Amino acid sequence: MFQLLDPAGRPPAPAPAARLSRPARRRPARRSAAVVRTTLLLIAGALVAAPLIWLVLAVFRPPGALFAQALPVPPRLANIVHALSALPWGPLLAHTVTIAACVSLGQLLTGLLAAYGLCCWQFPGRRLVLLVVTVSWLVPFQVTVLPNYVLISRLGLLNSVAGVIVPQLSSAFAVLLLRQHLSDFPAELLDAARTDGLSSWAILWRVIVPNIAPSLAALEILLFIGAWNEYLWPLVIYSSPDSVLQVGIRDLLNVDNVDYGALLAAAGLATLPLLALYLLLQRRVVDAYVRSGLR
Amino acid sequence: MFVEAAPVMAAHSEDQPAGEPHRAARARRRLLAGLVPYLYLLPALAAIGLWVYWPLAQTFRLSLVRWNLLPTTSPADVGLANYRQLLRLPQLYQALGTTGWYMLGLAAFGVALPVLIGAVARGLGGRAQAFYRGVLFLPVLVSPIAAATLWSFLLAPNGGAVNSLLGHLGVAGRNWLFDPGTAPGALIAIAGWKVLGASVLIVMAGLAAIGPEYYEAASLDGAGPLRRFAEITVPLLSPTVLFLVASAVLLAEGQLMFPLIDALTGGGPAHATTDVYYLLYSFGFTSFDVGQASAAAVLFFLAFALVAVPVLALLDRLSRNQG
Repeated sequence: MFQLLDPAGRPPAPAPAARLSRPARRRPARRSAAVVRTTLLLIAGALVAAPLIWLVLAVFRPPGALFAQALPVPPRLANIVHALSALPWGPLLAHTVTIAACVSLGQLLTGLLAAYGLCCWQFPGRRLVLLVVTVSWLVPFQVTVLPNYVLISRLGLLNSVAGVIVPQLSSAFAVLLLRQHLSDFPAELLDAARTDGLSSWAILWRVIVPNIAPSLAALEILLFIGAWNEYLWPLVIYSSPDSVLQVGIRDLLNVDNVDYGALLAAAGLATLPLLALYLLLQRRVVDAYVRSGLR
Repeated sequence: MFVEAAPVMAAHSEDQPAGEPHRAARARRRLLAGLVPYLYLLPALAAIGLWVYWPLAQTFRLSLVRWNLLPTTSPADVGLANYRQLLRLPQLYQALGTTGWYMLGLAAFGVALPVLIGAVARGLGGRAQAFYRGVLFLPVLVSPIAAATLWSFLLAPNGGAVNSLLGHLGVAGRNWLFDPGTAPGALIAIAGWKVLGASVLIVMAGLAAIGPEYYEAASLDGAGPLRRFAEITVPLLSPTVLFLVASAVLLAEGQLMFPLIDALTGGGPAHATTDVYYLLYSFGFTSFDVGQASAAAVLFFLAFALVAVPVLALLDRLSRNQG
């Protein structure tokens, strides 16, 4: 079958007889395939979107009628008001923003440097380094959480923002993703920069970074989302009612009489900053995310 | 390029006898140049070493001691006692079984369904695709805790959306998260909602990377849709599928199921939703039994490696063949 391809990679033109008969035979099959395709896509899209739509509708209902099924007209803000008074938003936001910014920028920087080292040099131990990074990507965090906790407590960083940040400053995921971005970087540009006598440090910051800035921004947003949504580590290292958003929201859920209105509003509010960041660079963020699966 | 460079270097070495110090300086510079890639790798490798591999080694060591995490007490060596005690716990086997179900569920929602949907969605064009991608990505933004919140509302026994929907269809509602029979399935469904859209996006990208000429050539060859799927899609998509197995099944079992369990069921009812990670977390941070928790961590890590290593090796081989 592959021999059929001509050197340009195109299949040869079909024989005239086939050209005449095929479309006529295929049309009904193609139309039913399109119907099946659209239906399946709509179902998958609806499954993903419906819970989120329901969340938004519920937040704007009056607190006494959360389970109503009509549209919330006029929209009520009582749930949002309750959510604002149910959690210490000031410290929660300050801590969460600080942690997510430091962690994501740290991961981006260490990842960029490591990916640069892996992509632009051939050196002894390169395959080993790659193996060490890839394996660390899959080591379950729960397996190492106790010794991490002990180490952080010895450093005197328990119950602090720094304690949450420090162990997360490097991520195998960031290294691997950036390696993919850099391996696509045009070699001619690098060669030209080298011929101009630029040092490797200057090449990184003056040639590579400006050229992949949009991808870096998208990756930064992805890493920010991951750090913002992180739960287990902050829970272990900094478990207080005003530590980070995820821990705060969980505390609202684990009470005897859950105020779902306030809880849903809080969950929605905690997601809004991410939604805003995502909308800034929507296409690029999805592209950056999706590329992680392209090996 | 190297051929051209060779005479230049030869010319240099003819000049060499003039200065012995020059040679030393050049050797030192070459040595430093050789160090450059390692310097770039240093920050990431140091962090990974300190916060992943060193703790991993510590976990092995702590599995042989008895200790309650208090800094004022010191760990006492107990040999393999922690392992013996652990292997006698019926909870361990229940948690292993639950973990197996979670992984199967994640494989269905994070790998099998996305491949099916992605294969069908192939060819969706233009603006419709951009919008569709935007919708599918949304659950990535929603934290596991926010997802737990949202779904505990949808699954509420009295008046929750799921039960009222089922009521319209004439099916009796359940108390999904508090019934040992349904709670694990409910958690899988929630995790499935989180991973489905993102996995479909990854499959769609993987499929888009397969050139249409393969399919056209196969069609001309008379291959039907099933044969095209088996002989083109499956082999060319397998790196993507393996990546999904690693991220949407192996990683998600630890990173996604844990917050859902912790926020929604606390491992219950009757330990029905406790998986291996939740079990070892509760050994460590609820019972403060460091030895027991570390022994469990070592066992689970070895079991996990048994699954993960072949996946990684295969992923590596496939990506090198194609890259």
